[in-house]
Amino acid sequence: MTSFLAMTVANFKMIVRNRTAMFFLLGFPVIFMVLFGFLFGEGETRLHIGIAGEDSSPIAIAIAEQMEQTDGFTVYRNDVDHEMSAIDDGDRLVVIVFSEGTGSAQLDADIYVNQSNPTFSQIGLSAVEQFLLQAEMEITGQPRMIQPTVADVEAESFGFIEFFLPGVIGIALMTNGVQALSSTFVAFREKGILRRIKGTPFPLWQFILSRITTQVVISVFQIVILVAIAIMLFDVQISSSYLAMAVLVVIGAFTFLSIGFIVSAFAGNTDVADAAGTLITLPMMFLSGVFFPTDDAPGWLQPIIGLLPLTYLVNGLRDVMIRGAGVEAVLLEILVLIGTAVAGFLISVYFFRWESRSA
Amino acid sequence: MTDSIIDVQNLTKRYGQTIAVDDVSLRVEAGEIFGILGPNGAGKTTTLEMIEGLRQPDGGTITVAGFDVVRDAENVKRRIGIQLQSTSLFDHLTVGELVSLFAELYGADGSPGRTQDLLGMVSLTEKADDHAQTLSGGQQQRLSIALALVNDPEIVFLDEPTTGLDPQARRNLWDLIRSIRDQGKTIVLTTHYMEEAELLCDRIAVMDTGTIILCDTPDNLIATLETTGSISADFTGVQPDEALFAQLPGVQNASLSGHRLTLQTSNLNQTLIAFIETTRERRMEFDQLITTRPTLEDVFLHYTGKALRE
Repeated sequence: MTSFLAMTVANFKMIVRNRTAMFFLLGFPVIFMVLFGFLFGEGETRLHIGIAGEDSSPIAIAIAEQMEQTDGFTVYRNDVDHEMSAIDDGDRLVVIVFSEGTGSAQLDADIYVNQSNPTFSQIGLSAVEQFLLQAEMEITGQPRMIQPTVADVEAESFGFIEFFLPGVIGIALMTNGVQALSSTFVAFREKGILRRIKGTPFPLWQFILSRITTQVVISVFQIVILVAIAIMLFDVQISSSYLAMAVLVVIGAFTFLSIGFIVSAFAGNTDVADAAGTLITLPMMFLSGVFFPTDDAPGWLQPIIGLLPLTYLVNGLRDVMIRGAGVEAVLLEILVLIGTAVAGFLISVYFFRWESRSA
Repeated sequence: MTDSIIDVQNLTKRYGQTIAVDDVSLRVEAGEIFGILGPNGAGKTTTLEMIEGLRQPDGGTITVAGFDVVRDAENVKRRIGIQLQSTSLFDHLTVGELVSLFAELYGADGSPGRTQDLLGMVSLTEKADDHAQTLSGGQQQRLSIALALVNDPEIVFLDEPTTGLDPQARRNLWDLIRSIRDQGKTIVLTTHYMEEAELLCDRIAVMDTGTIILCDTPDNLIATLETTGSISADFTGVQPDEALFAQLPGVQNASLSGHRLTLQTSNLNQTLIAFIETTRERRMEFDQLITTRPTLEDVFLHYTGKALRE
């Protein structure tokens, strides 16, 4: 047991002292999230809002003026045709067109939402709606005088960062598992370190378990940091129990480590391992709904998307973190991930090699 | 059954069509430095790694410290220390941490005190906090020897420990290896340096193309060729006639390079007497007379028909 502990401590030292590895483990996902968070995140990017037809009512004018003074909104006031062509060109996220309502004291508002970036649009729309409701209350003291009609929106109630955070966690677990593990392990074999370990009485399974333990602990640490930054910087609300999230994170870590071991079993040298790792992780990153929902992806792509483990991890995390689902609601995802992990470890044990194939 | 600490019988290893190790039998006695000498590709490392339990033999038996290596690898691993050819070590760990880690992997004492002792033994005390990658070639070899000693083994296996080292570092390593032997440990090493085998090893197995050709002490090996040698001399007066000297008794080959005549002989004494009589009769003047006794190089050449690469 002390030998296992000594090996694990040594593994931690090796990773923590390796600056490149640390960058990819901690710096890269954090930079990723912060960058995307500021680019698309709620409250940090200005929302370009067009307003037209406000002349029909003093209340509408008051709302438009108040919106102009609100941080986060960039307001354009023009006629309807101008604003509608602006949204067509992608220059507006939301356009509000006021018109006199049917009743004397009523005001209609047609809200048009730019659907080119559904996630971002959702943020914009909910922000606008929230604003209208509050502004109206302040100005008129009466509830719901404005009758908003929203066009072309299936609105979901979370923002980009809430959508993106589970994706970043998935990417972190994936790169940590597939790429970090396979390139280290293949390097161990290439340098003869595995053979040297074979010469000691320390069993191989303990050597591997020690590496896995280290990687899982580092992954959990990495994700704690990611979530903490998301909460502090972007005010993300985690709706689930942290336990359900931790279960998915740990299972996901094992799943991608097992894929990393498969890569290590087949890759002859570190260059091949790195290339294979990228070949596996890059398509998954884009096809598993990390950056945008895959519901709109073409039909022929859906079966492929359904085969990727990252899809299940990210969907599961999203259900748990954003929609507040419990572990029981993501059983399918958990089973798929565990199945992949078990299959991965069996394959890599079967094809395990102590030495590089050459010589 | 035997007192030998290592007993190898009819060991064979094939790689596809190639027979890397062909029916090798050898015994190593406790407390000696045993060398396996041969050119690259002779099968030295394969033989060594099968004895260490790192490679599965295709045939034959290996007993190390009383345990069968194939069936009882665990017991063997605990009693031996190994240094592999060109192993690099974990990055980002210091020399001290590596020694301590390997001690723990053997279930041995990895305490700072013990680590200091081991590093002292291989003269790396000041390098304890340096990373292994920053060490020189000789220092790295000494570190891997320290790693081979962490479990206080009965037998230490060293695979080409001095390859690539400069002469000074090589001599330092020989002293280290002798000091390990003097602690009562048995050492088995491979080398392709004649000089190393001759000066360092108590006994040598000469290996070529997967088989052991000879196995004895360096002196006995050379004694098998006792009568062979060479004579050379610089002629100061008339140019000597090669053909004349080629006819002297025992001479196998006579060659002339400038004023320098060199005779290869299968009977050094006989040829030397004849050489001196011939030159006296003909009043041929010479100086710088040199006779050389055979070396392991000649032994190797004689039995394999080819030269070792230095």
